[in-house]
Amino acid sequence: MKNRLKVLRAEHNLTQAKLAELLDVSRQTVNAIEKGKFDPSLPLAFKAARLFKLKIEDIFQDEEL
Amino acid sequence: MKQQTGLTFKQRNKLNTVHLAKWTLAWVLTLALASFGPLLLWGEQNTLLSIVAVMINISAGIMMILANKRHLAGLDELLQRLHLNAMAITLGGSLVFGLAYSVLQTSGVVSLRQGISHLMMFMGITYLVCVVVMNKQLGAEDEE
Repeated sequence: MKNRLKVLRAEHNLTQAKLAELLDVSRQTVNAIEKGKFDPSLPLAFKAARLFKLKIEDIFQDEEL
Repeated sequence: MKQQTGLTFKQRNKLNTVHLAKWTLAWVLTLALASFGPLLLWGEQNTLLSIVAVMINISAGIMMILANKRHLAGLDELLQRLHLNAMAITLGGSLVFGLAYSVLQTSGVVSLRQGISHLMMFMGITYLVCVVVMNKQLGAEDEE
């Protein structure tokens, strides 16, 4: 699954640590999601979408599409 | 974003880790007391004190298990998966290599007797190595 988390984080001038705090996860998790090493659960994806005021599909995209 | 506890993930995780460390230390100390107490403190003939020491050790052990459970439940989804994988490898490795060694011992290929303490060491080291390696693979040390 591809995602735009790193781009959105940069646009909002957030560090990985700050984004992790806002999402209530560890910095490793933010890092792993950004690098595509870990796909978040649906609740975490919704949380990210709420935070950036976007739809889930605006942040996360299926790589097969 | 804070949960109902009013603590951030980092604060909650630190608190749970400290809690786990305290109960682990209590368990180790009470285990030492139960092991060496009959020899060094109250004498082997005093079975009542030995039983009390073991009961205290079991109580501390139960608290350690609960603290560990709480620590794992407090982790986020990635870290929970990491620890689940580490536990799977540790449990599987202990079963496979422990029984393989037992077979080699029974068939007389190796003569060195291994006790439960060696198995505990094997499990501890395997778990630690797994957590460190998987943390590294996930790029935990990467820059922001």
